[in-house]
Amino acid sequence: MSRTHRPTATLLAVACAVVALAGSPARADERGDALLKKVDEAVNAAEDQTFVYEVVTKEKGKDPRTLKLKVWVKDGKRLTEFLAPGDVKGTKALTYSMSQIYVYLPAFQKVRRVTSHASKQNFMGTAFSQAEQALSWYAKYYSAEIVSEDDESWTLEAEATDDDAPYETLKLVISKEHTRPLKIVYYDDGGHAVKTETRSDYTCRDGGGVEVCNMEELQMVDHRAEDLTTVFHRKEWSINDGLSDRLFSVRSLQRMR
Amino acid sequence: MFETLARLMIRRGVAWAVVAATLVVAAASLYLARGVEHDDDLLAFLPEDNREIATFEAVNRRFGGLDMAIVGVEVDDAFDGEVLEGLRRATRDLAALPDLAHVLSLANVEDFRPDPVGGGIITGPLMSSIPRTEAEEAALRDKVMTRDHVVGNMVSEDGRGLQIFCTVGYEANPREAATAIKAVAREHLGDHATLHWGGNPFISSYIYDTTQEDMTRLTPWAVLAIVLIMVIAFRDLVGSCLALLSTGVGILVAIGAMALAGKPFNVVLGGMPVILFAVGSAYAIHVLTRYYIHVRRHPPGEAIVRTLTGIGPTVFAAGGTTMAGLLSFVMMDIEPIRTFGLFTALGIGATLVLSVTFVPAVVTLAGLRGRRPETSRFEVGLGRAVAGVRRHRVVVGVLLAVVAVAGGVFSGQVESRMDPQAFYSEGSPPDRADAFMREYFGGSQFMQLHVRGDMRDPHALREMERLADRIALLPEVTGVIHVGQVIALGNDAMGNERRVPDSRAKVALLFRFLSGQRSLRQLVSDERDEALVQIRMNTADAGESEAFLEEVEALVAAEAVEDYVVVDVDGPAAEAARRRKLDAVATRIRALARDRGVPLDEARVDELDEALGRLDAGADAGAIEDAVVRYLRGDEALVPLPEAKGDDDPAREVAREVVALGPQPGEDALQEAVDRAIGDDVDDVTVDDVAFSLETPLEEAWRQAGSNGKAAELISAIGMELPDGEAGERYRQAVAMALLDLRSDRVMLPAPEGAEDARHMEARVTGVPILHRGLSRSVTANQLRSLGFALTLVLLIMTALFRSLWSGLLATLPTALTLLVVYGTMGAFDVQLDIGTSMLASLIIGAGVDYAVHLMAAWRPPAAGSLEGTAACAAERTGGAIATNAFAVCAGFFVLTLGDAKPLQNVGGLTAAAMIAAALTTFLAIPALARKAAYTRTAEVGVAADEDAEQAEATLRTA
Repeated sequence: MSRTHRPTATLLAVACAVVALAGSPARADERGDALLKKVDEAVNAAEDQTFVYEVVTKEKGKDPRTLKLKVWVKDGKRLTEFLAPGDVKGTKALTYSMSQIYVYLPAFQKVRRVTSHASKQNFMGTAFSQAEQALSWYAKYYSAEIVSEDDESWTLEAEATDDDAPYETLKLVISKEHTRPLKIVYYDDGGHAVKTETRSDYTCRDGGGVEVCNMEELQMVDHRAEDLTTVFHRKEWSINDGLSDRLFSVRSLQRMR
Repeated sequence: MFETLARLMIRRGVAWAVVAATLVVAAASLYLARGVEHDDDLLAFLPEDNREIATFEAVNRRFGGLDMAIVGVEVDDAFDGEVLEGLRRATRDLAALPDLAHVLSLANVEDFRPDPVGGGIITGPLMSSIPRTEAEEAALRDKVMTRDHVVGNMVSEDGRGLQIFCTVGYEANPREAATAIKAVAREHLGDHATLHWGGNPFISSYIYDTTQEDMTRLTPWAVLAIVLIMVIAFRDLVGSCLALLSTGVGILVAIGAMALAGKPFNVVLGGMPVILFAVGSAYAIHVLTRYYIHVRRHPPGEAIVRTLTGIGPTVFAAGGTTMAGLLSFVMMDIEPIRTFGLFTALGIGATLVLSVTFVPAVVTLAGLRGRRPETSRFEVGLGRAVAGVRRHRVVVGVLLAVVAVAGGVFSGQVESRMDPQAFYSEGSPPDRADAFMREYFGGSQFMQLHVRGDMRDPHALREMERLADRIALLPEVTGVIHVGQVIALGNDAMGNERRVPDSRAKVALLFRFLSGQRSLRQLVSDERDEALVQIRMNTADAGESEAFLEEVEALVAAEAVEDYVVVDVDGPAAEAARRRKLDAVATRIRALARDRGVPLDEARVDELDEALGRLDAGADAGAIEDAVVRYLRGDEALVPLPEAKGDDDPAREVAREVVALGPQPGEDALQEAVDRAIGDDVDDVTVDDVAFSLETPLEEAWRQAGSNGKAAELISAIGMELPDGEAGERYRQAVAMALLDLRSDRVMLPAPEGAEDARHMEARVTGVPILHRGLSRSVTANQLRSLGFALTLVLLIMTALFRSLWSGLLATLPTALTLLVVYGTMGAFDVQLDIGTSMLASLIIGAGVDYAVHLMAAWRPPAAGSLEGTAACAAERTGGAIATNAFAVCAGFFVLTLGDAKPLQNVGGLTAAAMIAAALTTFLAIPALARKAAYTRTAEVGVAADEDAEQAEATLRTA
């Protein structure tokens, strides 16, 4: 009897192991994806937000360059106005999505619609590209797996699931306290770390029953450009100001003085 | 001194101590030598304190690298999906290499095009995805082939060649970068394409690598050849081994000293063993030969004393001249060559010291007696021949004078030139790469025009563009790239005009927008105060490059404006302003024609100048209306207008009304026109917004329509035949854009003397050809310095040895003749003076003069006392050793010519020939010109009434 039972038991054990092995990643994917959705909800919790940033870009062997920006965000749309320095003052960018942006250039006195496909060119000499700035809904483009966890954070590996995803792979460190990214490493399809984004000093406010948190400092390092580093220092921040939808229109872009 | 030394060496205790000390030094040196680092840095060979090279370095540092490595990809179809996937992966991985400042290929070049549906522009990589089907491949081909700045640069016109441009970072090692690039390109493209490696980093790496490989492979064989010749000629295995052992210790001492001094081993030092074995082992051989003669008639101790007192000074003088030749390299401004000279001289010095210490010590301890010295038939024959030379000294003297004159004449034709092409053979990888890049892309060699000035000033940008256009018209130029083109592209993207904008604000803003583009770094500094015009030329030949370089320098000197003022076109300098605008636009149109392959012969050039001055075609109102409608219906429109209903189209109505106002309508007129067109259907705010938003697009449409009309008129007036299809249309549009410059209100003119509002800019040619010219000049200066140093030192040593300036000159004469023969040969066979061949003179002086030293030291009258007998006797006594050494050195250096490295072939071949020439001229010049019965005092030479001389005299008499 035992002889006849032994193979069955072995097969059963193997089958269980296969199921377990197959099942583990599936559960991890589900957990990762669920966490990514939670991050998206947390990052986009406010009705609208308004920021003023001082943006400092440092490059090896060069003097730091500084920009000053005002940014309005609502419903995934973002309006950026350059306040300084003089050569860009008055320039505005209205971002509808990672690929759709309207730019108002005062020197040209016109609005230009720019459709950007998979372009990862850095924007205005900073370490950020348009894609990274506009990427605020991760779950739409990526499927994630939790690869490690400690008392303070989860580490996710996210693979692109959408052709419009700007990078093949992301590695995100998510704060357990704020459910928001502390660090994002962007990888190309060759597995090279292209950029590293660090978000630090989160502060939170009550957004009408919802906790809205935002980092005081946002840093991006571009490893392909001799570690070109740009830091966004948040100077002002307000939430739920009741920004009008008309603010995020082409007419407003050109008419707003 | 030598007698004291000799008497020490014959004491067994001292001899043991000397042998032990030598072995300890050898062991210590061997230990230290293991720690010597290898330096493969090609940049170390750049001369120091050279102005042109310093300028090149400064520009290189400023722009993050001028060294362009170009990977040529030869394929059947550049648009094949697998090829493009390989290209994409290769570009991606190359961009990740730390040594590269920038990588550009079809796989990552950014593009923009008008959005025909929503208006505005579409940006992104030109190749946004890899084509998977034939239809997708065809679509990509059609798209790419319309990009004039991509075709001929990143993909060839026939679609069978691709290029990846890799800019090597300023501080990167070009050789390491070249190796890494090859590895990546082979990994991703090796299976799909034939790869070619073009540009300076690959060429210099090839030269360096083949030289080093040949050196590593051939040096043991060269040393073996030298050893074999010496053993066979010397016919004394123990003595030969002793000589070789002392030379080996000398090499170890030199390398150990390098380790102590922290000097790295370089490719030139690879030649040290050949030189030391060839030249250095002769000292011990001379000592042993003389000892074997004396030991037949005297006890060993006495023989050693007689040997050292007799031949010691001569050996030291010979070694001193060799050291002088090598030490002359310290006069060069190239660090690795200085290191080579210094430490090889040290090795020679060590070998020299060992020949009078270690060798006699071993002889004392071992009681060597050697073979019985015999005068060989060769030596007897040589003695007779030299006696004959003496007899026919007038004929020989004339012959030598003729050779000297001919050598002098041909030596004058030797050109100092750093010609990379001269360093690789036909059919070698760099040669094949050059052929591929010339055939498919117009060449792989670049030079740069370095422009200083305010690059945010549109007038400075236009002036740079004018200079670039002038250069682009030169026949050797196959492409010109500058930041004005990038700004023009940006202006096209943002303002629909592919030209340098008229306002400083626009230029400054475009620079901001473009500052994320890494490729911009190769064209303009971050401060926008310096720019580079990249000039691609269709020649890699150094002679042609130098001539072209001078042509460009002359053009820049004649054309470039340094101080300028910007004036109104209708001001006091109106006529000068008009002429300058016409000249710049005509040059632009000609350069565009050359770039796009549109024929424009000289006769039409004159017509072009005339036609430009009388263009009067107007704008096509229909085209302007269409442009306005496109804007109003596009996504860029400020406000959406009501949809068209049949023929009732509000956008068309607005366009008709506003165009009817003519160019530059006032704000109020525009508002009224819009109100007339749609006022009944929309509110006042919308009318106001539409009128407001139309100001810029309407102005653009008028300008462009006017310019398009004039472009058509111009092309027709001068009878230009445009290519069919899109290429012709693109040229017409480019001409229209160029003609817009005629509308500029202000233009730059050279500043009058003392103008207070003058602005400054300057242009200088730089780049690898300048680097090569700097190297060439450095080589010439190095050659003169080291030659002067070596000749002076050798003459001083010879004068001191023979205690007479004339005798010193006589001893130096054969080497001087040899130099004339060698440099005459170089001139006759077009071998250029480069870093390698510039070392020849000092090597020849150092090694070649030894023969004269030995012959003159042995120049003593036999019993009969005739000069013929003296010549024969001296030749018999020294001829064997001189010939053996000449053949040994010749064989050693000849072996080095058997590899692939052209620098080694040149240096090896010429040194081999030079040694034979030095021996020959010694046996011809000294017997012909000798006037004295003896050149050294007998007491010094210490071989009074030498029986061998008697024997030689007897031989001569018999003959």
